[in-house]
Amino acid sequence: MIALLHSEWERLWKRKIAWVFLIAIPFIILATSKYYIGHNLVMPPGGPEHTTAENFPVMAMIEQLIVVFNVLVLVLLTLSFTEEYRSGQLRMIMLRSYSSTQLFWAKWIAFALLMALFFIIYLLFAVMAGYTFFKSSPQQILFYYDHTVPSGDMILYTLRYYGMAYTTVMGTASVFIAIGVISRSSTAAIGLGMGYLLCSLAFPLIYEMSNRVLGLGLPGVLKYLSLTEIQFSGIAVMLSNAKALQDLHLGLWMICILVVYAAVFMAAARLIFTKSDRWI
Amino acid sequence: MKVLEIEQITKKAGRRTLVGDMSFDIMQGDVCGFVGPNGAGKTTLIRMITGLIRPEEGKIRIEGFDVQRDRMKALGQVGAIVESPIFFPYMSGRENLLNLVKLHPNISKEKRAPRVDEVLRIVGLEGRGKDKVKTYSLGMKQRLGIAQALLGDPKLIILDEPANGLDPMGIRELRNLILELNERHGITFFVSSHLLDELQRICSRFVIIKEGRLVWQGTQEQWQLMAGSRSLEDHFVEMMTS
Repeated sequence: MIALLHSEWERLWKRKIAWVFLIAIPFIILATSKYYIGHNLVMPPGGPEHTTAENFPVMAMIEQLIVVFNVLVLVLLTLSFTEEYRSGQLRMIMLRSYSSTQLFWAKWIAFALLMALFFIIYLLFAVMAGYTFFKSSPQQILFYYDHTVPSGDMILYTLRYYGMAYTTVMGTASVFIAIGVISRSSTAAIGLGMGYLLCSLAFPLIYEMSNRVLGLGLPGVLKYLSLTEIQFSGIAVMLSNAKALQDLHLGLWMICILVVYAAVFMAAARLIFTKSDRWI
Repeated sequence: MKVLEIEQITKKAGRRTLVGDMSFDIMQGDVCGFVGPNGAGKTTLIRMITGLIRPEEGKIRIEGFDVQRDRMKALGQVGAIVESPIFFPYMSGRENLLNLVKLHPNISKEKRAPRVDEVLRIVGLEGRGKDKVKTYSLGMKQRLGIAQALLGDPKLIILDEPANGLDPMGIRELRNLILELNERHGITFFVSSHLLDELQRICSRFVIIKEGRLVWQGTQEQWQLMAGSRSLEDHFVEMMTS
């Protein structure tokens, strides 16, 4: 299994997209820094949206998580699952003495490791950019926090934020893998994946608007059925120490949603990938 | 000794029977031609032998190991090209093989690179190993396909229409390679093809199928005896149209 994982990792790593993204990380961070420098001009200190050296890594993740990371995940998984499978390239692997279940998990683990590496490198560049472009502050003001946080605690908060962001990306990845294994071409997989992302982005807006306009009185937490909404505001809510929010157990609710997404879509993807005949 | 045993194999797609109750054996050292018209079920059976699809009924054993129950041991004895050899185009020929050789547990880490160089030498691609696969001609891809099939030092190599798209020079190179591997390395071959003339030059045995069913099997001498004064091609056409 380790050999299979090594083989998958090597192929993923040899793809141009992996290198392009790696090289792009400093430029993405630079562009994000530029955006927040401008943002700081209209956002005076004293609010959570004011960027400091310490909170920049979190702000940089908030800014790029939904678009850059989700799209990267979609492209990587489409190349790894759909393209290799539908073009017949994967036949070279499937003809060997490994089961398709082992192949499925090797692909998943190789992808998860690559994404973890990207997150770590992104964090390192964000920390460097934070101290290069922004003023340091002894106390940080965070979203959904009752009090300010000393810089030392900010390190832990940042790591937790990145950990949760990574978890949500893995949740989204489970949907993309299911899409990837049912799609008959890479174009279809990318199209369906983008369609899913747009629906996920639109759902909370439509839900809140209809709830308000039609006076449905449905619970607000249902907007977190959307994974992109968890990425947009949910992570900060999960990490909140505000008493009012903690009483609602929103963190638990969102974790449950992530687990259900991962379990349902991964199980479906694995079943389709391993049980069906491979007419490739 | 039996290298490949096909025992009452049936595969259906909906109501249509793609392969029906097919049984035959391939013995060690055979170069066996697998002949049948388009849609006869040749590739379907090869896909079942290589574990890509599952039969509804029957058993396939390679070197005595059941492909369904003992997949690792069974497929560990086989090298194959199913339809056209498709590689990872963003890697060189050598990188492709280095990636695939990891999947052979019988080859230790230190022996992987020498094994890759050895198979590249066997198929005559040692000079082009560092080039990207996307720059290879079809003939070179076929040879690289045989190289990947050779990686695990298999007892049996299965080639599905290996001469498709090859020019006469490529076909001759492929023929010589098969004969050399059979004679010098004792590898058993199971080769499907439409090119009966070509198979006649290399095959000691034939398995002939039509509409998913076995029509005839035996040695080339037996077939020639049966055909009498007619050519094998004429006799084959007769079998397919009767």
